[in-house]
Amino acid sequence: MGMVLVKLEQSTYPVNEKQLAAAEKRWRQQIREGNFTNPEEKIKKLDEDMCIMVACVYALARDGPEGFKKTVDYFLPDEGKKTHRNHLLAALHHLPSAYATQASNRMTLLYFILGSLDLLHALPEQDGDQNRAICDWIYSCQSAAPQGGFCGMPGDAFPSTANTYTALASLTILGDGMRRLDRERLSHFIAKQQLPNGCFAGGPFLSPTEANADMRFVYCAAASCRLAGLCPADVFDVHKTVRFIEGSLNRLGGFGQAEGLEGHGGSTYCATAALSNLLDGFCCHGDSLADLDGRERVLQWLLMRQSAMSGIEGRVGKPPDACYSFWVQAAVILTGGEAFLTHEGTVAFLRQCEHAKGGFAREPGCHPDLLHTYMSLCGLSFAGLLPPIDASLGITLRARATVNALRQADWCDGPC
Amino acid sequence: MHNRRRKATAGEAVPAIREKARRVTELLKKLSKCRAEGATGDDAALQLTQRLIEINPDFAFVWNFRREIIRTLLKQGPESDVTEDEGGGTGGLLCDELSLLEGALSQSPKAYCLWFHRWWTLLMQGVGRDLGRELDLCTKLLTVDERNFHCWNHRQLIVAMRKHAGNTTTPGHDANGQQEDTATRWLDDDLGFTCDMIERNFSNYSAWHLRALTRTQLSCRPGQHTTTGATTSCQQELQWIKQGVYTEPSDQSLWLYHCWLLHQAGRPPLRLVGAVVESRSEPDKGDCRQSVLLFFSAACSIDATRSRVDIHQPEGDVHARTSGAFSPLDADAASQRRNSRIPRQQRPLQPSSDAWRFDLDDGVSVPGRATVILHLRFTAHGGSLPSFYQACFLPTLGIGGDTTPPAAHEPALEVTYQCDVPGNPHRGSVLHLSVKDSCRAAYCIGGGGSSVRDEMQPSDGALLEQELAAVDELLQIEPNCYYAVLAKCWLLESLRPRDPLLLANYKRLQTLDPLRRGFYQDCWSNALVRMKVLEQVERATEGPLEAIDLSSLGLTCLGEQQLLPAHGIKRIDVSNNSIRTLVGLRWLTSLEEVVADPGVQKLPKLRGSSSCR
Repeated sequence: MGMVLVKLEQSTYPVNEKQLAAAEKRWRQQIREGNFTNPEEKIKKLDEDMCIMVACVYALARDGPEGFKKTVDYFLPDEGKKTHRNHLLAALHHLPSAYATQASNRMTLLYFILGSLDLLHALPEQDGDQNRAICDWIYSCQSAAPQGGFCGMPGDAFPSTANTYTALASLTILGDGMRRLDRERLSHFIAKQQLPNGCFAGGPFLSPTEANADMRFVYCAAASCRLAGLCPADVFDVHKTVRFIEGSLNRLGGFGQAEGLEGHGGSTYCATAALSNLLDGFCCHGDSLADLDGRERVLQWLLMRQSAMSGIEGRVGKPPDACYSFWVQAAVILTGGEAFLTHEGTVAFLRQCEHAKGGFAREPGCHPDLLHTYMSLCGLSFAGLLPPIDASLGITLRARATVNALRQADWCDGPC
Repeated sequence: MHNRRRKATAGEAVPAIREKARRVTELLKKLSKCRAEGATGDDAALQLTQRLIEINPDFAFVWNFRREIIRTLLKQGPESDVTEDEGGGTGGLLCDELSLLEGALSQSPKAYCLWFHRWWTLLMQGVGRDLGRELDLCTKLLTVDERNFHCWNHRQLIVAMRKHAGNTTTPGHDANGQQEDTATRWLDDDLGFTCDMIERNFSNYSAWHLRALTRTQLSCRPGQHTTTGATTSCQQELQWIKQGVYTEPSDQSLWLYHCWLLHQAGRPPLRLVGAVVESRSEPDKGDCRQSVLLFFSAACSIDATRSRVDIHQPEGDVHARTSGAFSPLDADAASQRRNSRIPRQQRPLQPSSDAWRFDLDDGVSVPGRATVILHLRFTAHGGSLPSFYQACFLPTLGIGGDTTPPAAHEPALEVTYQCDVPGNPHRGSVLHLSVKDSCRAAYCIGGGGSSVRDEMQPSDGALLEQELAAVDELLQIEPNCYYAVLAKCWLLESLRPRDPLLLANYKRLQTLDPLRRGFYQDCWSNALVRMKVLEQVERATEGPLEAIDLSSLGLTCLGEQQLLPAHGIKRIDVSNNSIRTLVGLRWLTSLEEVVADPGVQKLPKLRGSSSCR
């Protein structure tokens, strides 16, 4: 489905010991002397912390499943584990080029990384420097007045709906209190993305006819509101959006990206999760869509995405893909079909997608990447092998507890 | 895009990647500088973005810059140049853009940002654009990759753009007929296109999808029939599918289309599944008040102010006409479910629910023999107009909000149902009405134009019987084709919902298709509940039925619709089953006692002294 562009090049790192030692020295010094006088330099430093983060999961992708534990070491390199550190530094060294083409989506990469680490019990300590540094980096991407919202990287001129969602999700995972979040400008930004037909745009546009809009952004907007503790109806016209979503229900099965478009596992997730977030996301799963017109057919279509090979496909007659173990299964749960999921096959398929060096690829034999790694881990979570996640927000239940705490203060009426 | 095979990078290519990355970083720096200096309107910036795009076309934010630059250049360009000039001028600029995109698309045919930019460029071209050429390009690209999702979606956007252009360029009254013809011809073309694609490969679900959409739109054109006449009747369509099914019985796209086609021929998505008249004695007033309860197959919003209920005597005279007292059956739950997170001032006037109560006026009652006519007006406001009906309106696809009717013109649907009061099934305080399938529906947009047509025809029994025989025939050859077994089950559900064969087939599906066994188990459970309930209702010939026993049947779920015939009972035993939730009991408003296994969740609020064991 590709909520964002994620492309990591697989490559070997022909770095010699000398270069590594020099890079490590530089890096350690920077970390130690984190007090920069020049704000630009500070941003640069934060940006490098981001590199470290990406390097960690990048390393996770190469060091394998039992290496989930090793990931922790990548975070706080232990002097005794030289090889791992070398890996980290090699990755760090290489990162700028791996990044270059996806710089504008770094925020979303961060979300995949933090989400993965949360599922693996490997998050940086809540009050630690690493945690603070990442939060600082995220806030450095908060768009300046008057736009609001979050950009994909510091200094980017275009805040985007997707990066706003992933920024808020990342902050939630990190347990940030969101005190530095400019809620007023955030709701302004989200409201601005709504089109007259109820759909949402991916970022600022001049006139609604020119907006790049589809179901992905509807989800991002709905989830952003909830993550930021905003009541969607205070921010935009919920009815219009609900109508847009329900109008995108395809009679042959599933939801399309917009009205009249082919049903797709990814857009079906976005549609059901958005409905769930807009209507009664805080109530028990399944109930939120109980009165959706044609719920049974949506559910059946979703269940049919599991193919005979037991992997899950995104569209009818396409090869199975690891990321749909999240999109499709989460949508099944949201439409009240959790009891129908069969996990043996899905887990077996995911194991095949697991790269020999770690991480998950979209299908067996391909190269692992961050999106598929996180989505596969979510699939394993649905199977009960990892901590439970909230299907409508894409974060762990543990992280969601923070949202509930945020919400208490300024929520509209109606208990849940 | 993630959904693409990545090329493995061999060790020796690394320096090349480094070099590429260095160039990208350098160009990005220059570009940021350009933008910071406000030099978005010059060719140099345009060149910079182009060089970046040539390295990697998958750069969403470079395209963002590019749009800014082009917009500025277009503004700077002299007015006269806006028209299609060969080569130079702003027209040429956009033409160049399209060629650039063609190159980029061949390199990255699945990048969202490229397809969006292409659509945007066409939008900028305005009336001068060549949409026919664009459709040809889609056809070409779909020949290379017949499932390219982006290309199919782009094609739909172009179709919508064309329709939109057609609507605005030929205003005036006389042109209307001609415009209708053109629109129908376009739909015919689309139908022909899907035909070509499907003939190339039967398993192209994207093509089947477009076919279903186009057929729906064609059938909704008042008095219009496709001019080519080919593959239009349901019969011919079924024959066509049959060919494919015999070639490849396990092709899901065919079966999904098959199901959709029969669904069209059969019952409409929103049905009135049952209606009862409930009497409540009000001790303080000393008399008895009646309510009509309506149960629908999906949630809907009834416009209480414009709906009414007429009660006719057998002679045909209107006995009573009454309006204005519709409310969701479980008003609290409905409003909580839909609106709990919407502040009060923004709550819709109309709640949405699948069960509605209509309180008859004081002194009005339904006599022993009568016909109840329900004139219901459904609105999309606050809930949803069932999407089947929405599909009948011109889709406002993609073209932002400009074509969306303003709030004052909310579409509405008017349906007239006829319910007869039957001879006997009078159970205690509840009178079951028999709902006739036939009814008239009208779509209205705003106060003005409305098109009236008989949308909901009675189920085409003969067609469904014929299809059942055809599926059976296939099963003789392919006994293990679970799609066929599933199709058989759906047909039996419509034709003979109490046939024990249904149970056997659902059980068989569980072995044939173990991946979805839980789902089939629920289907089986629903079918069994339906049969058991009807059996017990029919057995109770003397006096009102007080209780239903559904214990120890191996049930996993309880469906509202299956239980509805038992409306009026006071007690139900559902113990010793594996039922997950009791939400299915919510339509049985007269229940006082439920016997269920411990640990079963979500017991609905019971009337009176409820107890649960």
